[in-house]
Amino acid sequence: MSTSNPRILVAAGIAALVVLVGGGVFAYSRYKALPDPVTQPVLFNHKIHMDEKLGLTCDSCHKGVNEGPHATIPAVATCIKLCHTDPQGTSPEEPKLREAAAKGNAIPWIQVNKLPGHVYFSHVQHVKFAKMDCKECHGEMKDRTEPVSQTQTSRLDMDTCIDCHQEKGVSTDCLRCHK
Amino acid sequence: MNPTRRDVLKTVVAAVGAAALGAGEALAAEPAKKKRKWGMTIDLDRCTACQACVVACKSENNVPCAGPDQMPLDRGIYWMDMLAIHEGSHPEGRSQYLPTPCNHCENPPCVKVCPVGATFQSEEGIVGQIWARCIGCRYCTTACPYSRRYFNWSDPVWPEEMKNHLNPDVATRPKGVVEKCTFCHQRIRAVQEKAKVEGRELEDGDFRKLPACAQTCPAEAIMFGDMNDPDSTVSELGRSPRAFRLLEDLGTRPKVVFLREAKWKE
Ligand code: HEC
Ligand code: HEC
Ligand code: HEC
Ligand code: HEC
Repeated sequence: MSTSNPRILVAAGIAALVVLVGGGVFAYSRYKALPDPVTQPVLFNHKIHMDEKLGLTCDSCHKGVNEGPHATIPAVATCIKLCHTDPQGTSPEEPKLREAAAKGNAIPWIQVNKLPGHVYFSHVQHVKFAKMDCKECHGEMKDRTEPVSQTQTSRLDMDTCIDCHQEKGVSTDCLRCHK
Repeated sequence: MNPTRRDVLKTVVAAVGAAALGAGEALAAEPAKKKRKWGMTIDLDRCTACQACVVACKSENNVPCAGPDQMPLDRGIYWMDMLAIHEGSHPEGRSQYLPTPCNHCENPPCVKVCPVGATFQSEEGIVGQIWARCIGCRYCTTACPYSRRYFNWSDPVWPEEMKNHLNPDVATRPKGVVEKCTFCHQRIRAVQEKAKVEGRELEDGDFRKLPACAQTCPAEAIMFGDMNDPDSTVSELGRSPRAFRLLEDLGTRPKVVFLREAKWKE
């Protein structure tokens, strides 16, 4: 039997194609876990809110950064009570806030900066104890006029965490960051 | 070019300076606190074998229900199991029950055989398992003399009512990886972080009933704590003449200590 049997070659070719396409689809599905860019229910504008006149800081709204693992986003009721009882601007996004509040609904924000389910990250450790600026991980949020999109989050991988932890002498025990 | 005398001198000065600085820093730092070493005591004279711990563990740690197709194959998963040993038959029959979490051995045979470093001993003595790293070879399940490791033979399933009640602090495990008891390390981490935010030191009372099994035990048979702290409840109970560990002669040095007045027949 000759070794250059065309059927074997064709089979090998098909197998190679399957592996290539399959691998490509797998890799694509991993990196495209969320549609890009994410469309938030309300297009929140950070820049307007960080205007000096308002005197807001990041932790005025993301209160959790000084308390626990999650940064948290204020409830609609809080936005209404503290500021948005009456229209504050002309943006078509703003009325959506009062609509949601009137119905008693929470705004279903889509979390963009999101680690895989098996990872534990804590804001309080980095913001309060390590005294890190939000922009070291999130970039210049105060200049953003539109919501963040998926692509910016790729920096928060395990190498980034471990490199800094090693540099600062913080624990790199698997159980510190995994669950 | 040969180094000049000046260069050599500079190096020496720099080295001495660095050494002095190092010593200074070491002095300034607090006396190194002894690392914690988590351990558990289970008082069999208190245990009524009610299995509340088994249920609590399942719900805290998102342990799936194996279901009718997997159970007959003995593929149920129990991070905390209730082993029953029956001797003799009615009317002289005698049953003994033994709640069995992972022993978190100080010399764990499972860790030695993992080819990919998915299982390891944490700084505080917990035998952890990072399922994202696990390749499902099951060497560890075979190596464990206590059979405290479980392989996921199928994707996890929960009854409809439980799907929205999964614990967000514990990741769910997919088909093909090994899982095990972690001494509820998510609770330890949370209480440590909370104490740090509140700026207080943790005491024995913060840990005594920290894991779900200990918290739930109505007979207070299960106690948890720091075995490196000689005054902790677990250390005290560990010194009791009633204390024994499972398969002690294997040299695995379990950190789960059982207590029992009568001699335990293994
Ligand atoms: C007026 C309240 C407010 C202030 C002040 C504020 N934010 Fe936000 N932030 C929000 C709201 C509401 C969202 C949710 C909308 C969104 O994701 O676009 C959000 C979303 C975010 C997100 C994206 C969350 C995700 O889904 O990944 C980041 C990151 C963030 N903020 C960081 C900051 C930083 C850094 C500052 C300070 C420079 C800041 N925020 C100040 C209200 C605020
Ligand atoms: C060390 C890097 C780091 C720093 C510093 C940091 N974050 Fe984050 N942030 C993350 C990561 C990682 C996530 C994703 C967390 C997850 O999936 O559990 C996240 C998520 C968020 C979210 C959305 C989810 C949530 O937890 O509510 C907001 C809002 C947020 N960060 C705001 C902030 C603000 C405001 C600051 C500064 C006070 C800040 N972050 C500082 C890394 C960081
Ligand atoms: C630029 C530096 C830096 C980066 C990046 C960073 N960390 Fe940290 N992290 C720290 C420092 C510093 C501490 C110690 C805080 C303290 O106690 O003062 C810390 C503490 C922690 C702790 C608590 C550790 C303990 O011993 O209790 C966890 C958990 C953690 N980081 C997870 C993460 C994760 C997950 C990431 C990646 C998404 C990450 N960190 C990225 C600097 C960093
Ligand atoms: C400082 C925090 C930190 C520590 C310590 C840490 N990890 Fe991670 N790990 C992460 C983060 C964050 C991710 C998610 C990365 C991403 O999404 O790309 C991750 C992802 C992983 C993954 C990849 C899963 C996948 O789907 O690709 C594996 C495997 C893993 N970690 C294993 C380990 C092991 C084993 C250890 C201990 C030796 C460890 N990690 C220690 C933060 C950490």
